[in-house]
Amino acid sequence: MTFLDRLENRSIHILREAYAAFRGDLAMLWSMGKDSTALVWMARKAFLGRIPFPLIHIDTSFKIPDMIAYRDRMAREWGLDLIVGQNESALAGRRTFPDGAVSRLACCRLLKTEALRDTLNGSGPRKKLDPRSGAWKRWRSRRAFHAVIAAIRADEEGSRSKERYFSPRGGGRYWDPAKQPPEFWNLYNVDFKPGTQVRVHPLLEWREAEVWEYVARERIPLVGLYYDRGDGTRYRSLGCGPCTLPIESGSRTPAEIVSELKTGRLKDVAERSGRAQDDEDRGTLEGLRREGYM
Amino acid sequence: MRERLSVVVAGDVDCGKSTVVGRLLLDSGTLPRGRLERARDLCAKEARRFEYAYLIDALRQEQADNMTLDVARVFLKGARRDYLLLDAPGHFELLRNMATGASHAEAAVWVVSAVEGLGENSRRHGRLLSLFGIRQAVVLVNKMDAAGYDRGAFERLARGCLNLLKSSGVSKARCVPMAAFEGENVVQPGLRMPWYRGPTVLNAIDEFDPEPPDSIRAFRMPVQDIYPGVRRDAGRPVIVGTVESGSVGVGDEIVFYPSRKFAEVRSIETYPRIGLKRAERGMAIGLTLDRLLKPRRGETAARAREKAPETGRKLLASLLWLGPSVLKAGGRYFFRLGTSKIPARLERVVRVVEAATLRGGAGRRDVRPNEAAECVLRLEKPAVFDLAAENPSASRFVLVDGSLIGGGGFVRAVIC
Ligand SMILES: Nc1nc2c(ncn2[C@@H]2O[C@H](COP(=O)(O)OP(=O)(O)O)[C@@H](O)[C@H]2O)c(=O)[nH]1
Ligand code: SF4
Repeated sequence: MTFLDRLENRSIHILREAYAAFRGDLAMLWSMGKDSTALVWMARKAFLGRIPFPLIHIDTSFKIPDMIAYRDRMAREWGLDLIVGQNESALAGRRTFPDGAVSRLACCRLLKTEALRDTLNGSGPRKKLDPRSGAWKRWRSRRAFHAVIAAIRADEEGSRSKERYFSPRGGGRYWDPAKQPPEFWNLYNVDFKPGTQVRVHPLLEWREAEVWEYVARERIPLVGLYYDRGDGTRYRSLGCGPCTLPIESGSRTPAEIVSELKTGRLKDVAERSGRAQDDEDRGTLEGLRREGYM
Repeated sequence: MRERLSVVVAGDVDCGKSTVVGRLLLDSGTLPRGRLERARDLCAKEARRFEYAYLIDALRQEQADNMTLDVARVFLKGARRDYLLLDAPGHFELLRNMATGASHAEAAVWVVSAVEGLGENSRRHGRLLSLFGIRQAVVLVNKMDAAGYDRGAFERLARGCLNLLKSSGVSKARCVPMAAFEGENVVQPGLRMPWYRGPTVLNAIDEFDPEPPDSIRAFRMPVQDIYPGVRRDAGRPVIVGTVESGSVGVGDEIVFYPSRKFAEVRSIETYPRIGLKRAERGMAIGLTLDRLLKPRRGETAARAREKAPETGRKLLASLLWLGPSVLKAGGRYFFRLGTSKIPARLERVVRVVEAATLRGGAGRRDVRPNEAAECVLRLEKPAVFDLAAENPSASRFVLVDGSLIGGGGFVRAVIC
């Protein structure tokens, strides 16, 4: 096996462990970015074609339109059980950063952290895609999800390098990196008290360039925003339109991105450098993570 | 695509770990542009002597927002492959993070100082490596400049370190004399120790085996789950798991332990690829069988014509306990190995191998956090495993205390 095979097989092993441990309590976050899409791809492999738990997208309503079109297309093509959650009251009240009402941090907290919390515990509004008609319907179930798979990587950003593969979030969702239980070999913490929030991170040991090599090898269809489509720019990391900038780069394929990352001009540049929300305050992401943001 | 190996860096405080890592990054050309100059300027401005530790701290801070309580991961470019250096802090409270990191490492670099020698703390680090499953290590005898680059001093210390590693189960080890601060023998061969003809630090690391030679070992696959079959195959249930050691092929007769039910492998299921004939160690696969058989999660599949795994309810185990509470004789825990989870009682503490305080040894009835011990465990049902000496990956277990993993180790022997 190649190193990429080893990474893939370990991630599949973790996905299967998560499903064995949490069954109907489990869901997976999908942001349509390259990492979570690669993970959806691996989940289809792990479960032999049909992912047996729902995927969740937290829609801030500010996502770049291409991402939403891509989401709906792939969900149908891959037969995904897709749930979309949204902080509708904050959006209705225009309490957002793009509306000029609140800071970036407050906006992310409302549209991401709180929306995620309420989508998982079932108290917030949720929609489901009807796979046959392709129409969105309100999902009236109160079903809660305590275990969530997220496609974070340790090399993405500081606070993530301290994560575990299976990470309990205590009684609430609060995360204390210094007090995590040990995790040995491929034996993970799964015996939590009922009601404990758990995050599962099958991509933790992947690096950015490895994800791209995988995308290239597997020919995973990604949203076109990642590639230069003629104007010499592309997105390196995808988020909300008002807070994400494209970078200057002429890469048009996953293979070109791999070489750009390894030897080209992106070699020493941080991946999330196009994300404004990280700069606002250096502790932002760790702060958001402690409160439950991915 | 380049291979990547995880290597844990162990050593007592002040032996020069940060300097070693800093020099490795610098001399191998891994360090981002301008980084060294920036650290030197900063030191000059604050009128401090430059230390490589600042460089590493700065790097870590960037990578970890100032909170370095966990294992820091540092990337290093070798000549043959890439490395993830797991820089485990020398302090004790952080042993759990070191253990977590090291249990994912394939090899260790153990730094000792030619000046301070093998103190008790240093010995502890060396002995603990094997408890995380480390089987290969390079000992860096650092600060040789301060020991006059003396061959005798190196050889005495090297002998002590190698003996200690061998006796604790790290079978493959070698020693490199070096001076990290001076850059002697880090990446470039040094000039000041003409009596030494061995590899530099980076070359020694490049010589690590990428994987233990497990392919010669017997097939083991702990059953993770049973999935409903695919339509193409008349809905035969698929038994999924990851090959822990050995390999399995279509047509092989396999046995599930402990139930001892057997069947023939009809197909190896992966998606979307079909028709795989053979699966090797590390592959996450599914199996369909020639007869309707539903083994349960927690059972282990083995090949009928290979060595059978051990089964037993009373085991001798060596383990590292991390707490938070004290591991007590008579206490009840869950024993997890492979995919099995079995209620267990700690019958007896045979001896505490590494005590958290100087009072350790025999005659103890409990194991405190951060201590290593040999214990007898009694399980409610038989477990299936191999012995540590034969097939370590099928012998490692964790003990769950309440709802969290409190420690882990290897099964050494079956008592009954
Ligand atoms: N003489 C000498 N001193 C060294 C050498 N390597 C490191 N040191 C010094 O030993 C001290 C501890 O080094 P450091 O890397 O911070 O150790 P750590 O605590 O193990 O990370 C520092 O003052 C270093 O400058 C060496 O090769 N020779
Ligand atoms: S990224 Fe921008 S628009 Fe999106 S939630 Fe955060 S602040 Fe609001």
